[in-house]
Amino acid sequence: MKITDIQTIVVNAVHRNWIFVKVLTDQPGLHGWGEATLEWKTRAVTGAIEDLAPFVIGEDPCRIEHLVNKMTRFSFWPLGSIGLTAVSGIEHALWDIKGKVLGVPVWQLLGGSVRDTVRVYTHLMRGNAAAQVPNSDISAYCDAVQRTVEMGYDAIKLGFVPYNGYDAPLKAVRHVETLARAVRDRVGDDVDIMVDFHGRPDSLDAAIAYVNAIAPIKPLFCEEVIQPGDAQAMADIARRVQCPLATGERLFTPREFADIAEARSVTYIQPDLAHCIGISGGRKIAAIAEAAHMGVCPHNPMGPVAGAVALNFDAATTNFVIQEEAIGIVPWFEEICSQYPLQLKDHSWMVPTAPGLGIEIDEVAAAKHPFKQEIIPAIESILPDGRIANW
Amino acid sequence: MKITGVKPWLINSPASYWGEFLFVEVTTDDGVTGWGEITTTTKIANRALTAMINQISHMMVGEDPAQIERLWHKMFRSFTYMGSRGAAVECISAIDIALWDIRGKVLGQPIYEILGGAVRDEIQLYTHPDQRKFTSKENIVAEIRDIVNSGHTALKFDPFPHQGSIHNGKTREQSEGYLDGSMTKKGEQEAAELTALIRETAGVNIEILIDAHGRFDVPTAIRLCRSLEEAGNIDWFEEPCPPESINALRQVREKVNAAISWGERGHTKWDFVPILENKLADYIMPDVTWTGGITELKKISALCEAYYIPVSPHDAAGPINVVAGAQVMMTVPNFYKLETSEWNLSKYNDLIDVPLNNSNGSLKLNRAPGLGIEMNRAFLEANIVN
Repeated sequence: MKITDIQTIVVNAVHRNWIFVKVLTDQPGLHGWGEATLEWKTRAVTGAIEDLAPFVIGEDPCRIEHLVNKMTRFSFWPLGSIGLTAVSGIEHALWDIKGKVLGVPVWQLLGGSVRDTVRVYTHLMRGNAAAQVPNSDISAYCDAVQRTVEMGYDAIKLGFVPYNGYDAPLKAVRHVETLARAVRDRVGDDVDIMVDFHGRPDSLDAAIAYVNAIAPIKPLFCEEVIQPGDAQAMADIARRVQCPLATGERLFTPREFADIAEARSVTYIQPDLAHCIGISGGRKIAAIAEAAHMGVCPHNPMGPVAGAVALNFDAATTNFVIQEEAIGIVPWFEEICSQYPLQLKDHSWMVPTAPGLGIEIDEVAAAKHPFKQEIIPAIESILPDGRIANW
Repeated sequence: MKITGVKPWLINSPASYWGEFLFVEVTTDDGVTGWGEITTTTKIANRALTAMINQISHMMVGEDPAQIERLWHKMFRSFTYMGSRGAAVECISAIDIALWDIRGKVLGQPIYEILGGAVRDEIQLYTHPDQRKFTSKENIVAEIRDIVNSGHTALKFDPFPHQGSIHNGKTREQSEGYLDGSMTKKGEQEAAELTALIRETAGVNIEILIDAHGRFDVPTAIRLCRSLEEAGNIDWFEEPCPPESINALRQVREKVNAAISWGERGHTKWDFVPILENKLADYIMPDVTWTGGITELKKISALCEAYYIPVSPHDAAGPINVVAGAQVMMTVPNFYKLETSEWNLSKYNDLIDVPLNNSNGSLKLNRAPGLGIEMNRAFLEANIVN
């Protein structure tokens, strides 16, 4: 069996363009799907996939680790977020092909399922960009949180820490404190709340000020409380707050996660399987985390194929904790799929049964939402004096 | 598909250095069976593990053999109050290997295909001289030449003479274990002379690996390692001190030049974390039949990859140990060499359906499903230990 071609299909999803990767083989009808979505780098990633294709076309798609090595090592230049996202999308499709060839879901190739259901959390209004509510209006914000929970979730992630510099203005910290308390009061203790800082605080103490404001509501975790990459700084914060921390969506390699594990920087790691060399990279990272007693909460605000990849990974990964999704981001999330495994029941996805990843893109339906320049919310992240802040 | 039982097979065999093999068979209701192995270094341990396997069998009946990782944890947690990282993990190892064998057979694929596919075509080996033949200089030279001529490019031995007074034909070290950790100057000299002879015979292109079997205290280990560096330009020094002390390992490492190898007595990924984090070894050498099976060896390999440390699976047992380690290493980028007990592995031929192909010092796995070897049931039955 040989790989004959790699195609990309771009589907617009307002704030991002989903990049689906289709790996074709010389076997009639046999292909695999992957997802290589990377916000605001769409043309770069599809270009990177074109650049990587010659390394894998003509090869046996079942030699997944070998092809990953080929793409990463033959590239010579270290692959950053763009290159590793491209590799990840191709890698997913190879597992999809392997599962289809063997007639089993991908999780069956990863040591089998270790759980019956996969707990998920969502974003405010399931990520629906048109339904976002400014957090300045606490009551309206809490209404939106409640409506989201009523869609069938018992866990939600919110991003209400403001754009920030090196200091944490007291007024802003007080607002976060009040808002966090109001959200907790509204949803009660049966709902897990996560707060994503997006690495906005520039200093450790600014981060700590906000974590301390949120800690009393007992969040499941605070995420990326400073910019990623400094394992020791993250560990220093972890020692100084009474709150679990999480990081990892912007880390890529097992080595980077080993630094986090060695420093015991966080409670949970959040590899994104569309960036961290897919399922094989994710499995290595999960093993490193398991050895350091860390849970895995895969990052995924992306499209349906990334969801299917995560679902198969989660079903088979011992130290998995909870899965991110944002399936309300656009109304055509499910419409563009002819086979769709993300079935929500009792706050969780069901373990899929179809061979491979269990997802198929309907290319006709997908073509109705072609690439469009994304709306980039990051352009609003400017501080009052005109400084550019971290989005 | 359900598991119907887990059966220990304790076998008498001259092919085992220890005189016995302990294989484990997992049976299922649709006729597929998988094989694993534990084989330990003493008869008493083999019998204790046999009893444990019989108990674990009750817990496994009715389970889905495809849920390998879940069953790993179910077994592991069943023994947590007696200390899972030891005998329990050795039982888990054998069963885990057998479950992967079943998975491969059900899917019609070698295990390495399921683990992500091959990153290499064959598995480089290192092997041992038979030190029972070391009765004269000529015999030593002949044995080493046989290994070199077989195509192996690395060999391992333990040059250190046993210590202690002799009772009933055994040194105190053999009868009671190595207790005081010291070595006479005479013993040191003998070890250096043997190592020098083997280096001279093997030549500069062969890697010489020294196994200290965790027998020495800190100053002795340092002294002996330096002595062998000088005498034989050795390529690794394995388990200088008893595995219980990481601090002892650190002290030795700081004072010697040879690469340190560690891990045959490391059980589960958790035992390897402090070794890697404290940078105490250059090579990690878990035993797939002791450390937690294929599932755990794959995870340990991932940990080592993040630390740029090569993995070199240990083997002092039978054919399943060799092929189970090889199946994982087919998929692991950071692999050094796999251990085998002798350069000539035809001693296993009675035990398995197809001889292992280790020509030219590398193992060539066939593409048969699962482990790729099938046990010779009639031979096992004829040699079972009652």
